[in-house]
Amino acid sequence: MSQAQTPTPNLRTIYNFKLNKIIDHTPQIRELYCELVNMPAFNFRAGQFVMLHVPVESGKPALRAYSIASTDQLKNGFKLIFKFVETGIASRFVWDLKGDEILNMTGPFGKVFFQEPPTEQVVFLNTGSGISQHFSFLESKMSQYPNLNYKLFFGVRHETDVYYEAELKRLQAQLPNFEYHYVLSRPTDSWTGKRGYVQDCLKNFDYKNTPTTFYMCGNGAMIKDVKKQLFEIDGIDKSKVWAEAFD
Amino acid sequence: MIARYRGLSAYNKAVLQLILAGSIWGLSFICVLWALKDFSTSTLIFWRFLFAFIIGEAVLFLFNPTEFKNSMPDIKLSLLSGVALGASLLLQTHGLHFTTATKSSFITSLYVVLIPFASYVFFKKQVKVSHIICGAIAFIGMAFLLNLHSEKDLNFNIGDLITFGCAITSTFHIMFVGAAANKVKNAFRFNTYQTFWALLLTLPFLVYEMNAKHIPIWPSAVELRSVLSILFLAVFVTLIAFYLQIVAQKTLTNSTASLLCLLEAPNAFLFAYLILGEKLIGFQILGIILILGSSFLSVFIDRPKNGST
Repeated sequence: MSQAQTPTPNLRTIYNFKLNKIIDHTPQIRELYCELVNMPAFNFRAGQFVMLHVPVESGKPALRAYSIASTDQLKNGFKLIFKFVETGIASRFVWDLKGDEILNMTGPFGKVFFQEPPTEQVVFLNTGSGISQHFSFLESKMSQYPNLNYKLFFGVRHETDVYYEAELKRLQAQLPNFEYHYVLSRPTDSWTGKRGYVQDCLKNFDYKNTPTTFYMCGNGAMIKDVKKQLFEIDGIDKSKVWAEAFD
Repeated sequence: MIARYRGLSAYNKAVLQLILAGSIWGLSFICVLWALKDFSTSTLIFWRFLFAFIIGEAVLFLFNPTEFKNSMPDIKLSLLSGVALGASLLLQTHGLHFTTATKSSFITSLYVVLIPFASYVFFKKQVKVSHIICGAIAFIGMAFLLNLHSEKDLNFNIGDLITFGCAITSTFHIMFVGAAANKVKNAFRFNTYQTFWALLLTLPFLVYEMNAKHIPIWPSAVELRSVLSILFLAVFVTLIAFYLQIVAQKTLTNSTASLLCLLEAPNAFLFAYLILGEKLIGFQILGIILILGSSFLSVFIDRPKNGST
């Protein structure tokens, strides 16, 4: 899809998706492969999200937003990543899925897109299931912009929370200047990777002298901290920072 | 062994739970044979379900009074599956007056073929090609297992029609359990009341049969083995195995669950071979292989994939 055209969401059109695959990356992270069944196509742009209609007993379905985690070149389906929330109605629904259900969704929604023409350096900062949006950007744009300097910082708590490494490695094999780092806030002593919070990683690379666009997705506190650093301390132009927060 | 079980994924646990339930149901065939020496079919169902209900309620009340109190909504939730279970028992029992046990078992097993379609029609589930193929293979496996080709009369009579009704209610039973499984507060309580509703449904027919055939509610002479068989049926087959089915169906699709439930049949033949010394011929072994193969193929295809880290 060209950058100028943004699909118009139709709130009344309910798209039906069958589940093709359920992947449990960790006990807290579940990925669903959804295939469209009731329409010829589902058009979206990388960075957008859908509203999952969660059935609620004796009432209207509860709507929950989830970023699409796959390329926007596919028109007949996508992947969604879910993080388990103990009291979440959608978590309960998603973790109860057996694999033969049909899911109802509306969309696409959202206005955080990959900025084109892109800057020389593109930095992704995400936590939890925030990788969804950034993975969609990378998968959708990698053939068009293979030589950009991509940096992805993926914040999780423990080693056991690390997921999606095989998928990131697959991207790395096709993008010569793509590096990714897991940043663990509560690692064990044996962890040799980055420690702390993703916002601490800003000091690890040069973004003041290199044209850079920042994309953030995930924890609101992380986004607030990074924005404070970039806007108030470094004086970065607001048009170079794009964020989608969820807590 | 318990530590290894605890380490399994929810899906693998569910598969093991239904395999265990299938084994218990398979063993129930021998207990039914022993109990029928003193009891009639209808009084056997009555005592089995009554004992199960009383024991189930007493166990929960004594050992987990909080759950006993909190799980009241399960009484209502279990109504549909209880009615379907009771109807299955009634129709199968009544059908046996007009058809053979072999044909009855074969027709009842039609639920494995019906479930993918019925789940689509009534619960808007996907119709998966794998489920249809596995169901069809298992159904063919049943024909071999039951040695159907040696049946003298393969004509479809009224008994077969009634038993076909049992296949339909069995289909609904599995679908109702599947739909309720993730809503139940306590699977044990749900099962106890499923038993209760089934018991209530069968009660008028029991009274009718007792009057019509002058059958005593409790036989005048009864062997200890018959009573122990009924107790085994109440505790293990009704309380434990059906409880396992409900817990397993929290995770498994209706179709995979139905294939694993069908393991009852090969298990019954295997236990008859091991305990009663009954012979298994080549065709029957092929039938067992087909049923086991289709069950495990469905389990394999449906499994949630583990992501690499």
